[in-house]
Amino acid sequence: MDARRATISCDVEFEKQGRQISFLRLMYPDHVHDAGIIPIPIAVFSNGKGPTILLTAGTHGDEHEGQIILRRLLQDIDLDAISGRVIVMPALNYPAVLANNVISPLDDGNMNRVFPGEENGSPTSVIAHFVDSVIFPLCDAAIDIHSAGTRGRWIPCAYLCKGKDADLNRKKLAMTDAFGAPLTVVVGATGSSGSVDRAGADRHGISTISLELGGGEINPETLALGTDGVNRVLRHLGILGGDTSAPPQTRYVAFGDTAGSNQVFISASGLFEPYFTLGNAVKEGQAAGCIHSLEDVTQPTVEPTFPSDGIIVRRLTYAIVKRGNYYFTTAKEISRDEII
Amino acid sequence: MDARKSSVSCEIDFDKKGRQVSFLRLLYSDNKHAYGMIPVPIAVIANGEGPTIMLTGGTNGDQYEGQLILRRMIHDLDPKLVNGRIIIMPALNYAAVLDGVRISPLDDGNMNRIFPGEAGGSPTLTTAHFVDSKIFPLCDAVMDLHSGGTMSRYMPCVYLCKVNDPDLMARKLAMAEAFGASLTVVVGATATSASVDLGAANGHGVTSISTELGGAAGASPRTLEIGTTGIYRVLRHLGILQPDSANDSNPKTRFVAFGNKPGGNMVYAPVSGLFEPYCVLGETVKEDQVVGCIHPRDDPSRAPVEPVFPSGGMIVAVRVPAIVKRGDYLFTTANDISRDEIR
Repeated sequence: MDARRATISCDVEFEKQGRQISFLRLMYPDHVHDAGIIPIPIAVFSNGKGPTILLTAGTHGDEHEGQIILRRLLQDIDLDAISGRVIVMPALNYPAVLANNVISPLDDGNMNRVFPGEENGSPTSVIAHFVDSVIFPLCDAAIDIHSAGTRGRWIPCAYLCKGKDADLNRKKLAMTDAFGAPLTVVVGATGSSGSVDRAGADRHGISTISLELGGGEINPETLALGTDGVNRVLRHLGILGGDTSAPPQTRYVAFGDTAGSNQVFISASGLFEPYFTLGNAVKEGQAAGCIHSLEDVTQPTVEPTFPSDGIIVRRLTYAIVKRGNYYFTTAKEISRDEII
Repeated sequence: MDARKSSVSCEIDFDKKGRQVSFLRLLYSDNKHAYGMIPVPIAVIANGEGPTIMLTGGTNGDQYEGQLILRRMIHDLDPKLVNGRIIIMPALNYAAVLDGVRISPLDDGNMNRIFPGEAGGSPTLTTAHFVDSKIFPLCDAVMDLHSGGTMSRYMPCVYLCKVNDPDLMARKLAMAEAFGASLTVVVGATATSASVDLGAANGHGVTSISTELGGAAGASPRTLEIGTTGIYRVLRHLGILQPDSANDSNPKTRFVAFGNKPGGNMVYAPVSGLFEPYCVLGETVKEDQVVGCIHPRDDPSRAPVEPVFPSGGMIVAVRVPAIVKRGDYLFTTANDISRDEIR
């Protein structure tokens, strides 16, 4: 049990039509925040009748692509073009966003592990509880935008986390197809509902997907890919009208079932020389790169290998590695028919 | 005056043939290093009577391409194929390398700003002094390998820093062309000899170039390949390695330079926030073109700010971290110059 206690309130009226840009008032009377509030950005754009979608970013504070895409969307969205409701939270774990960190500096809370949260718990669990108890019940769909953070990079992809409900899985698949990322990573059902994505789907029956949009360095191409994909999902759901031309074809991939079988394990700390990069197809047993000792250049180098065949979908970008790091993640292509 | 005092010794025999991989013994009696030494890696690979080149990486500790390329070369170079001497220091500012930071944690020394160093001074100064007084006098050529570090990414390029001696300048230009990066950045002559590159050239008349091979605190197979093939071409150009008939022509480089307007080739962030770039490395941009958009990190209802390029040119370096502070640089641009303008 955590001794930290926070509360949250909100003056956004979710039933009101029009544009509202405001914040949740997170009250956490610690040494720094006792005489104020922690203002967590939230925007609601509502017009006419239609479905509701929640768009979140900053679930992890150091993943910047979604934070930029949603801030831009919040400035640019045309209210008159909407049929339904778009709820935007571009900095879901706001204390982590300000700290530029994966987890909250207030309670070490990882927003993507604490759902459904707790009503009067620590700051991260209180924010999660507000989303789970107040916002998710309003939603038909949700997209949570991640990336590899400051030290890694993904091939831009959608994550399709399967649940037990086949109809819901089909809706989620239609949503990832509409997003049209270069890759769609299909993940099997688990018992956990700690993430934004799984809490929305497994607990509330909402059609949810999450995204891994790059990481490391921000580039305009990834931002455009994310923005275009989100807009296609909004059209797919009928929230936006207009062009419903076919999305770019995605490739479906999945990870193996054995723990670590799709990861290149760094067995020694040092300076890593990669032999491959994102998108390369690799074979089991192939050397992934070379670990040089940082301290002693006479030391023999170590060449970690790929534990299985696959395509490199994620890599670390920093050259300094520690024993235990997973430098590359690989996945195998699957057919669309295998998914449901 | 700096109160920190250190000294350097070295048991490498620079006149011996063959491969020696060893370290400088940097003695610095602080809380952590008293009764020990700081082993700064150095290798010498020598054979025959040809020229001497020094190759350095880790001059700034968070720039990894050169550190990786030179570690590999220490293992891969066959002394029998060498005609001359190759001195390699893959982690020149070793204390900064171990911490993965730009400057030394021991004395805040930036190895590329303090040449010729100082005998008996702080650790970065004594390391520089050893290089300046013991190694540069042995050298015909020097190549110092940089990259963008944690904060930047560069177009892989050679930096050709101009000097007043026309003969030396002609040799430097020939070495830059032998490296054959797709881009060569020509920097105007200055009186300073504080960097490794100009410490060697202005201080000792050594033919020197430096490189910027990528950045973002990492390395990719592509940038490692560009750096490695360029260095091998320079070694063949100097006659230290035999000509390679399959690779005897140097790829053509494009020469660029920064403008004379102070700050005219840099875009600075006018406000702090989260930066959304509109442009990419290598792109050609126009004066007053919008560079991107700085979003407030705290309040998304506030309008973002869109800075513009102060002059047109090609983007040769970009900032890496998305979070920017007022005053941080966002992009560096340079303009094409002809080869004839270089001398």
